[in-house]
Amino acid sequence: MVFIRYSLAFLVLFLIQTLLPGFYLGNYSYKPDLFLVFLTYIAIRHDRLTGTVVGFIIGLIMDIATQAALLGIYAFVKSISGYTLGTFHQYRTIWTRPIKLAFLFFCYLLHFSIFYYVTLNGTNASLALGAQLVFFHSLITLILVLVSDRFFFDFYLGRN
Amino acid sequence: MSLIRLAYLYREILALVITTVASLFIFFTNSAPAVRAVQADLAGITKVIFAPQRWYRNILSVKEENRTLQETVVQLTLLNAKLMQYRSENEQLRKMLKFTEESRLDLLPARIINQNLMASVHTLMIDVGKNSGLHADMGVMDVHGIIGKIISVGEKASEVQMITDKNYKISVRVGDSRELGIFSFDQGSLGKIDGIRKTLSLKAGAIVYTSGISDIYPADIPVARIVSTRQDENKAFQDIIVELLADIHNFDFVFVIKN
Repeated sequence: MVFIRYSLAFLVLFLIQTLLPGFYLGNYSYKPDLFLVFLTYIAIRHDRLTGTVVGFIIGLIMDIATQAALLGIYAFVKSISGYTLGTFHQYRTIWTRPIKLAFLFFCYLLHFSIFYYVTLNGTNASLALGAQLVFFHSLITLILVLVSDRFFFDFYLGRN
Repeated sequence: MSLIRLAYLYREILALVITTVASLFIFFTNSAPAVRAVQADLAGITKVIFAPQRWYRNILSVKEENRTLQETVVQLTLLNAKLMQYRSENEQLRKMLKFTEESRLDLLPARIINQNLMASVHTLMIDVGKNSGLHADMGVMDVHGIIGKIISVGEKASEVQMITDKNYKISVRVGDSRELGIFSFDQGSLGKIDGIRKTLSLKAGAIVYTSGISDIYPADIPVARIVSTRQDENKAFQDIIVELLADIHNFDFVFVIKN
């Protein structure tokens, strides 16, 4: 039942992610990663194993659906992120809200750092641009999680 | 603990490893420039990580190489010594060959196989004997002058009494008037000529030759060079010091005079 619910949620997210336009901040386009938010929700509610496996599957689907040149990169970063975000599950009742938010932000930084290191490698992009992209994408994802936690789903972020 | 139990215990890590390996495998099968750039970066990191290992292996290989080189140096040194010996022998043989061709004498080359300078009679052994037609009392010389005479002959070897032996005397001729004298060895490479009258004028550096009187040596084979002469009022003959022409200290080959 859970599997079906998650699958349907994924399909809906896939549709939204495809149709969602990116927005410009400076000269660069930013597009929220809804799948990462979805992965955060699953990893927090379950555990590292589920986070890792679901992350790998989501990443693989994203690889196949969105690009072919760097096939495997999404599967890789989403697996790592699923595992690290799954750690949240173990400490959800121990950590305070600031620690939880800091941890989520760290996970997103790791996720986007790996992703942009690979995608920008071999291009003329500067380190500052890479850092900017990593930071703002992490921030956008964290804001999305906070919004979702506030209005839609419980991410165990607490209110304190 | 069974493998399945272990895998279950570490299922999270296992899942991470499996998914990571699978995704990286898929990723590195691409040939995009970004993938190649990542590969290059990873190669650089791997190089740094494994630098100590490479350093250690280099040390080991250098040690092994050093050992091999040391062995090679020893082998080459021995080979070099052997080649130097061959070269020296070759030069000596060439000189002998030239001497044989130019000489009016019937000469038989022979190799020294043993030398005995410590015994009461200074002798040496040569590697030719009766099978080469040798017999006792045949003269022996090198390219410079007389060395000695054969005193005993075997089938394939002969014994030569050297000119340095105290009991060895040779009849010689000195000076323009070819006056007869007797050569006898003294010490080092020096000898003396007896029986030359005081009135005979001799120059230092003049060559002393065999007289040809005996059956052993043909006439006019160089024996020695005059070093100095001295006239003593109380003696009937002058004292003549000569230096041997034959290289009695450093030789490997000699000639037996057959005629």
